[in-house]
Amino acid sequence: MGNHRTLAIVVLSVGVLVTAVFAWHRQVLPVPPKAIRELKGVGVIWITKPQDCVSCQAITGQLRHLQAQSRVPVVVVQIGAKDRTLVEKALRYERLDASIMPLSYLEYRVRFGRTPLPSVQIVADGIVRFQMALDRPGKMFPDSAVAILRQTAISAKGGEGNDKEAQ
Amino acid sequence: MRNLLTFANRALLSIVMVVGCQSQDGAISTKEAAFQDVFLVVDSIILQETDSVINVGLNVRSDAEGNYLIADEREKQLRIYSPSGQLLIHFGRGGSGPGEFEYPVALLRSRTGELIAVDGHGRLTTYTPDATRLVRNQATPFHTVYDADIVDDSTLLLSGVSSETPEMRLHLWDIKSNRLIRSFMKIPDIDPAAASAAGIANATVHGDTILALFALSDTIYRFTNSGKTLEAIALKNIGFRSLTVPPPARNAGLDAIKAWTASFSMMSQVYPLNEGFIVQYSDRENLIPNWRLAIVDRHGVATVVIKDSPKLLTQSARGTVFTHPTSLTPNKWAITEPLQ
Repeated sequence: MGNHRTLAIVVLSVGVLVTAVFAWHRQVLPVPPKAIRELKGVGVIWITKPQDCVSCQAITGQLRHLQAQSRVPVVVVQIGAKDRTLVEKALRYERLDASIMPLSYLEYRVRFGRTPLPSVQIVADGIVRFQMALDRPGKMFPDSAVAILRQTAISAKGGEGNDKEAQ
Repeated sequence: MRNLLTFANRALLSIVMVVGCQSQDGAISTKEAAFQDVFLVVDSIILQETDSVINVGLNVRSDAEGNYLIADEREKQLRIYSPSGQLLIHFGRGGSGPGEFEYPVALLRSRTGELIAVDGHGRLTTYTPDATRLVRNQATPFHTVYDADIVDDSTLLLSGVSSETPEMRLHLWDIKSNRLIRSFMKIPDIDPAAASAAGIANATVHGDTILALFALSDTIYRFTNSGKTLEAIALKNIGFRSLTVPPPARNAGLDAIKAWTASFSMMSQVYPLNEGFIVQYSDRENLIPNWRLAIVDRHGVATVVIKDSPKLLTQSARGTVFTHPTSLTPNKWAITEPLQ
């Protein structure tokens, strides 16, 4: 009987501990900005420092063509707010139709956790479906990731959702 | 829309400011002016685009039929547009194989009609006049090519750098025998690191004369078609800022690079006018060029300077071609004539 009681206490304690850890973990999980969480349909999130925005030309070229084919919305999360003009001009030069979301480094860590910098994500209905660090020049979305975009965005080219987002 | 723009520009004729006016003692004074006060937009065109054709980094030339030949260095694609902006053909893609380009800097029409595509890494690709077939693929000793133009049936003018003659920027290249004829235009004595980072040269052929610029020098260089020096015309009163500090180390941060590139002006294009030249140069802010334009007389004295100009693309039989001053994208062009 005593053993059963001890076991019950242990099980209860473990349960409380797991619940507490889970609750704590939930609390510190990164919470992407509202604009990204509420992105309808598929979208591309490019998390970048201004200098990477200038140098990551391969991904901008790929995004430019994906936008030409699908009007997929692109959100550029700019880490560090002081070079916004540079980012705006670089995107205009690259003919990339993107909205810019400046975040401080601290906000970036809160919002994106351990997400590498710079990196790109494909999100669908606010959920990250694909993520890739832009850790070398010339890096582009692999075919598998483009397929995700094509399935969700390009096939829905005639659909209203993405078109509205892109405008 | 086109008529509206033309009308708006014509209306400006009535209120145009006097530029390059002669002062009482006879000296020419330089005036700052707005673009629309100096150039009349006689036509506007929008380049046709498709899912696979987007105009980004444009190097533009025109041929005898008035078509525009484009080498897009960012898209690594070559295009031919009609004078009205209709896409006639596009070809080429990224890569280093035949028909592929790493950094196309020029698409030229030879005197015999063939198309010659010049890659920034020194490779020449020749196509049939209709661009449907690749005729030959040639390597040259130039590791960097900035610009190119046609001299005659067999000679190409290349602006670039080879490891054999790193101090020379212009080269006459025999396309048929695939050999160097002559190198000329020695660059001024400047910091080698600066020459490597920003020592760009541009040159174009006009009749029997070559007009050239070295990016870090406010001078127009004139040569004969055989490379013999005619004159070096020092530019005056254009507000050119000379390079005074060496470039930052390779691992320097963005702020250092921005500060360095913002510290000097760079010459980029020169074209002849009836009584002088039109010169394009740039000052950089946040790494992005702000285009400047100067109209200079035959002695290099600026009569008018435009501080915020749309980008000068080329000079064609129809006029001087700019990106359209009201457009944020490079696929809308203004064909202009200088206002007298």
